[in-house]
Amino acid sequence: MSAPLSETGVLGAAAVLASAPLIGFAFGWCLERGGLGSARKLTGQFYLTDLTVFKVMFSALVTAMLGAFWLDRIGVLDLGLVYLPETFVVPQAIGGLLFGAGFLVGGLCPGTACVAAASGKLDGLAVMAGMLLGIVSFNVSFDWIRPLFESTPLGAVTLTSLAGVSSAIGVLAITAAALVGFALAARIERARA
Amino acid sequence: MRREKPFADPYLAGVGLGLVLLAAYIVVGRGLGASGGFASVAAAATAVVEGPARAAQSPALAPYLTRGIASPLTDWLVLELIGVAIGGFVSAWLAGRSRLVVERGPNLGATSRIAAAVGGGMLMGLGAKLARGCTSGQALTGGALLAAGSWIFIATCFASAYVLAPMARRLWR
Amino acid sequence: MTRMHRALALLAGALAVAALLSDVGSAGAAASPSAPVNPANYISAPDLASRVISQDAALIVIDLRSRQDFDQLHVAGAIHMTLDDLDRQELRRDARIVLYADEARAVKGLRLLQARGYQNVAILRDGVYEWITRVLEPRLATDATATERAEFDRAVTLSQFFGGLPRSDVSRAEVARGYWTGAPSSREGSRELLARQAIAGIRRRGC
Repeated sequence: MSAPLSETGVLGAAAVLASAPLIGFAFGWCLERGGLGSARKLTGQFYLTDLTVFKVMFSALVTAMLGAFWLDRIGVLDLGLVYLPETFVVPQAIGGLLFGAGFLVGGLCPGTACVAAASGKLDGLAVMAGMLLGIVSFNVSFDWIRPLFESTPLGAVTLTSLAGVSSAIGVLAITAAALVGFALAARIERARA
Repeated sequence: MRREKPFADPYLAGVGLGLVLLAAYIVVGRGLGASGGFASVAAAATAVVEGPARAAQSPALAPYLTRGIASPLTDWLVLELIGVAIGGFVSAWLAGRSRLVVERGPNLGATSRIAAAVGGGMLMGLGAKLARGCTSGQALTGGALLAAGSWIFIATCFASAYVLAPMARRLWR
Repeated sequence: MTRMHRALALLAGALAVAALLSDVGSAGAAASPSAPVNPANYISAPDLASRVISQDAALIVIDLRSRQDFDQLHVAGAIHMTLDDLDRQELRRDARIVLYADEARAVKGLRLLQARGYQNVAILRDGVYEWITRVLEPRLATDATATERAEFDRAVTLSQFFGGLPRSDVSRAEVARGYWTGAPSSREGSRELLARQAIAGIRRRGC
């Protein structure tokens, strides 16, 4: 197992930090090339006029998912050393509801807002400012939000470990669902044309 | 002013994005993120205003201020976001897509758009804190790793946006 | 462009199906890195402390963190190993082994030893953080419940053995939280941070 490079001693702390802007550059580049720096394009998803968000997000997800699974399987990447976000059922559900509403109204998510701002869109700057305000509001209210924030923890679990099946089944299911989704997207677009 | 080039094929851009995410797993054992970087900046700003010692005592801010006021400036996500901005800028510049504009729906004034952007940003800031991430950190990164909470976030986020979309028509249509 | 799309879709589908088929070949779900740890393989810091105090000859405590972290502060009597060392080292078969590090690495170590046939392996569930907050520097809040007082009293005895520093009459906010108080343990972030802060505090006092 030679990766993650930061965990197997290949990369020190300074190199890890140096990798951040490089990876970020590639991230921002791909987002902008895909058109995700445009609020009108992003929100077209929710009116089914522009399905770019779904296409980019889920092809990215499936690519990374298949890549990670196979690199782990052949022994190059140790997924056990990759940070797996923890699950907090209720706060993440509520957070998702709020975030979706904010995404709809603001038209940009945190990452794409940076890309938008970088390409001159003042609404991108406004979203970034709003995000900071929202986070500060959360911090200020932390004492009474805390019980909700820390409720229903399940630890770092995956869908497949909760279901008691191997991760390959999840990989197959999500890939299949994404491909079906892409076919559906094509159909919706044909119907609109 | 360069001629505006068309956007890349979304599937290609997506695969590219997925490979970047995979590279992050391989190089630094973590995925991408965005909202966490904003949280670090917010913590730094609070520390400047309140003084680092006092700010670090707040349980909400403590995780972001491990090395006092220097922490947020050396946070992986903050550095990543700087890269995101530069990458977005260069890509837009080369494609003739950089211009100063307030992008908005056809039936919305600029001021209303800015107000909505700030309001939407606030909701996202709150939601991302509760969910421990956003579309980059939870949906993409956690989703590709099959994390349960990430998929809960994906489902509720998209459901919420679709259900509320008719009410927000004036913003975008 | 649609031909390329079709090719990509085919590739994705093939890789996904192959993933499932590769499961049949290998150990499948049991080998999945995300399989949850059997609760019997967790040990709490107070239990570990009791075992150390009882001078159990078969007890081996292994620190899997970085050498630097180990040198800064480690569980009394623990030895340092990397995962590679753990894979190669021959330990006595009847040893009672306790591992600690961040959760991912500790679980990796657990699986490694189990695969090599070691039966009695446990993970110190919240690592150094738990060791510091429940054994070395237990804290009692002014508004503590009777159960908390009892746990604190037990911790004081343990703490004295290791030259620690119990503190009573602190504010509720200064009492550590973790799985033992019903709060979630953070994987990164606050738990690692608090452990680092606590270690820095201990070192400043010159222990």
